[in-house]
Amino acid sequence: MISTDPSIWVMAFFTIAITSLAFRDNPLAKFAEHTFLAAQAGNLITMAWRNIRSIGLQPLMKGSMTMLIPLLFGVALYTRYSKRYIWVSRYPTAMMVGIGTGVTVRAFVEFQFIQQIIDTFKPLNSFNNIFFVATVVICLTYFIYSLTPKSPALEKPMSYVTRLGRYLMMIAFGASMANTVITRVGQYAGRIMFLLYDWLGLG
Amino acid sequence: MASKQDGVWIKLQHIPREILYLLIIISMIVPLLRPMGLPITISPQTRSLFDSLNTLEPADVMLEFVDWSAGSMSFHQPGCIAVSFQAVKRGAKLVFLSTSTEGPLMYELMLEKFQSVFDEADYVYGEDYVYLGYVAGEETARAAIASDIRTAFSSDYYGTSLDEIPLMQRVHNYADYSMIISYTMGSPESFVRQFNTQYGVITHIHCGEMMTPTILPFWASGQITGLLNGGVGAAEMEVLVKRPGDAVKLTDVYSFSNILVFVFLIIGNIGFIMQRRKGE
Amino acid sequence: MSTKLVRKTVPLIITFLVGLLMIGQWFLKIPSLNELATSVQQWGIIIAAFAMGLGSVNIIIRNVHRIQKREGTDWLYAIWLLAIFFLFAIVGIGFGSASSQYRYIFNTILQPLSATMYPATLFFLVSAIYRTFKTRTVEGGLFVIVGAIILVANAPVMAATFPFLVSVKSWIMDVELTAAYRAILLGIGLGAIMLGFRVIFGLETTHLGREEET
Repeated sequence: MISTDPSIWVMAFFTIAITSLAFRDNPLAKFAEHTFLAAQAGNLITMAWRNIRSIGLQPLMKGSMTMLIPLLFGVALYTRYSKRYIWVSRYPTAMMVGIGTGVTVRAFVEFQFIQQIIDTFKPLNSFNNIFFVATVVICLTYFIYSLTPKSPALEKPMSYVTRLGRYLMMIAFGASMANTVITRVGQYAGRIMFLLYDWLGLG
Repeated sequence: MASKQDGVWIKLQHIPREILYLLIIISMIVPLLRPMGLPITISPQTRSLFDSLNTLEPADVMLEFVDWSAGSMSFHQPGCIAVSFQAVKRGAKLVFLSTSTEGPLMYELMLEKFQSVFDEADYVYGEDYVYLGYVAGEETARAAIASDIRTAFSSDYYGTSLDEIPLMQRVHNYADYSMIISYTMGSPESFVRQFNTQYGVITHIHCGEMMTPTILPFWASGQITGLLNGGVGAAEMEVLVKRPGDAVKLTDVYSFSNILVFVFLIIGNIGFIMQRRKGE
Repeated sequence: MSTKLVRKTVPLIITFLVGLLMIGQWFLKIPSLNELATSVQQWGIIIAAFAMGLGSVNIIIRNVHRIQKREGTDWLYAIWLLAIFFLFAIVGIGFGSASSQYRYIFNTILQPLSATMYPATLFFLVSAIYRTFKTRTVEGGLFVIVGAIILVANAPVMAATFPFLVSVKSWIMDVELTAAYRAILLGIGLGAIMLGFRVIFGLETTHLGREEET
């Protein structure tokens, strides 16, 4: 039976309004978009405040004076709205970028190189393994733009290798495209489930 | 736009998009109203996660990163429920947390469906499971959680100090996590970097199918132990734990919608090829 | 103190020292260094929380301007936007995000919008597949053919009817795709490491903003 809960009707309205955007731009969709933007921003502020309070302000109140540094740096971020003091916002930005870059880069060599290269060294005792290793090498060759052979005799074979690398990558991208379709289908089907089961009571 | 004089091949390439969209929507409505209940093949990635969950002991602590947003709730929520069910069945302790802003409310929605499992298993909040809330900072936060969870959280989501929560009294850093699982659509590899690469913590990922291609090489190399592949993976997990739910219902939708998109792809290309042959 | 030193050099030194500290925590297992690095990561979390507010400030400024301009019906949307923003902010900060009030407005307003906004790109994807993905070249042909195979193999009804599709899909995903993406990841990894070190060593300064602000 169709729902009598007003909140379910509001949810159904927003779902249909956003979906209508795919068909054509209309005032309902614009209304829903603005609502989404506003709610998202409001949610960000709420979550940000929780973090600032629990990790920054509360320890500061309990005597942890070192918390003054990130709290002041955080406030300094907002000087970017002042033409005169915009340079002050570089300090917290520099710290955030330094932390983020350091934390990411430090793991990269082992995470994305060593482990991956070790796993690529497969025993060449089956078609799959030979194909696998060959594909990695050929696709990597495609990326080595600057390795143009000086000898004309090598130029043509190299061009075949890079073309083969392109073909192999396009096969992978085709599979990726199909995966993207199923992801979006699964996501949107969740909304159809809500409309059918929760709103219209058909489930 | 195709006109009456145009050949059928040109007309095939100009089907109005509104028709395409309506057909897609219908392809989702029909199987949801008339489920078919087709068999589901279990992938090695899902089997790997299930086997790993079956090594959990009652003293073990599993971190579950509730990092999905409402957009992927249709498959992440059933995946989390299935995985958590198996972990509870093994008696493991669960620490839920989020590094995504919608995570806390997504956790609350998931809990509405999962509370009954906790109640049946006599799980007590604070002793057997806890939710810590959201922490900002993305990969920085994950790195902090790995090295010392108290740098990221001083209390749980409801304001109770971590030191007053019995479960958290023995959870401090990577050494105390038996395994972690991240339900995310953004940067799943950062969890592998911060937990598995640095500290060797068993890491599982549940991401959308569109992210699987970039994550598969890490599963193949053993850096990720278990991998749930979007909605399909969630359905497989529901079958393995013998609790078919929303994810299994969605598999029928995949059948209809995927075939329809395949038909669109073929029609568009047939029209294109025939048009090119005719030299129009 | 020179303007350039304070406005450009010191921030670059901060990036360098902090980046080095994070890398040092990884490679040097020194307890005091680990403690310092973990504290700095905590600072990063707090600064990141402040950064989350920047977008909201931008939204407020832009929409106040729209209201002041009063162009067409644009300003009415801006008023509604600010109203919803302040509703969420006031309820969230006042009652807390764990409160039933905040849960209600989140579940009624934000959840359906967020749940539909990105998945609705399905329609644009379908349109693109239909109109754009054509077998114009060999590469395009391979893309279309493999995409078609995986689309069909992803349909459980087809996988149940033609079991060989499961094997084909497994081979493409576990062998071909994994190998190709591994090569791509290795290439990306090289670029990421280079960029990361350029940022840490101050060779890349785009994160500091425009040169005129010095």
